[in-house]
Amino acid sequence: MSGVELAHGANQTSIAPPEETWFHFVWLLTKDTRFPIPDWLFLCWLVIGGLVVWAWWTKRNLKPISTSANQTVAEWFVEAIDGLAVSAIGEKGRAYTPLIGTLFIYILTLNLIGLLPGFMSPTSHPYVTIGLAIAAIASVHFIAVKELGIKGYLMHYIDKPLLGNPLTAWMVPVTICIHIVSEFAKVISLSMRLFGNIFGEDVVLYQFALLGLAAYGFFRGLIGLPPPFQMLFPFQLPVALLHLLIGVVQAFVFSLLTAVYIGMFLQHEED
Amino acid sequence: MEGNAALYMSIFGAAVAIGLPLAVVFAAHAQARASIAASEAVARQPEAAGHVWRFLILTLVLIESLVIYALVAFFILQAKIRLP
Repeated sequence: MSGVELAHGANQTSIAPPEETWFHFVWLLTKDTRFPIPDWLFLCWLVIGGLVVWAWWTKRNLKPISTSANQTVAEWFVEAIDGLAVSAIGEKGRAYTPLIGTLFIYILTLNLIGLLPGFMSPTSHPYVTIGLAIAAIASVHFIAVKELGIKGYLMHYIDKPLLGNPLTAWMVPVTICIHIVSEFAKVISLSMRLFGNIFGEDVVLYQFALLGLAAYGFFRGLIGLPPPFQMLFPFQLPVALLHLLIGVVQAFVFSLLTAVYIGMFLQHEED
Repeated sequence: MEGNAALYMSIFGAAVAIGLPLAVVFAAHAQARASIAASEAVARQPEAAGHVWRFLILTLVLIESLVIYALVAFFILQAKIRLP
């Protein structure tokens, strides 16, 4: 940063918040090697490790009647996700509760970890959300092949009512193309929805924090404070509450849409 | 940059800037109508609130995905803006 006479952040070149966390030393250590590790990737691994340890510890301490707050929260979470899967897929959806619940809790943690000081939301980086969306859609197709068989899976791309009438049978290749394009559109919309929401919210948080610092800079002549106390005007606090809401809603939407996509494949079985 | 190219680039930049807000305006209208219908349904039948809420979320998400396609197009086109 140069130019002491400018207000805080007035000489910035990008509107996006800096992607530097307390784990930036990992990037500094590995950036010249063949496998550089950015901050968001290291944070993803950290979240995975924390969730695995939490799940293992909760399972080890399971009791027939819940006595700890941790087990009560875990049971409530499992029941909620189970109800979601059953309502979106049907009675067979109970087998896919682990997949949907894992997606939900992982994305929720990734979204909300950015509110801690010294962390960032890895989901505000497009590579993370594109990877998540590809993993979700790939598991949807894997489940469809497993449940319907190869023939039933391919029949999903052909609309059966069109085949019955010779006047409409020529439209079948067109609908096959539309189905294939819509599979790619699913990946794009899943990933870009998560990325756009979290990244946009991060930008708003950062800009409001800079606005608070600029407001302090206006009064700097009257009251001089050491750096940790310069956040006199925390304009970003209401936006942080909105970030809590949006993080939960986007994680829920991602897992609900995965369940709905599974249900769209499996509903062909009844025909 | 010569005259025609500069004119083209300025019109192109204006089009890129106007496209996403246009999509957002109409999607906001559509989402508002969906929310109105959902709240009326819940007011009429409060016991169906859970089902209505899930359908509302699904509808809002599907409307939102259209805006996201506009956002993707915005990101692609915005990289093609060249300043003279």
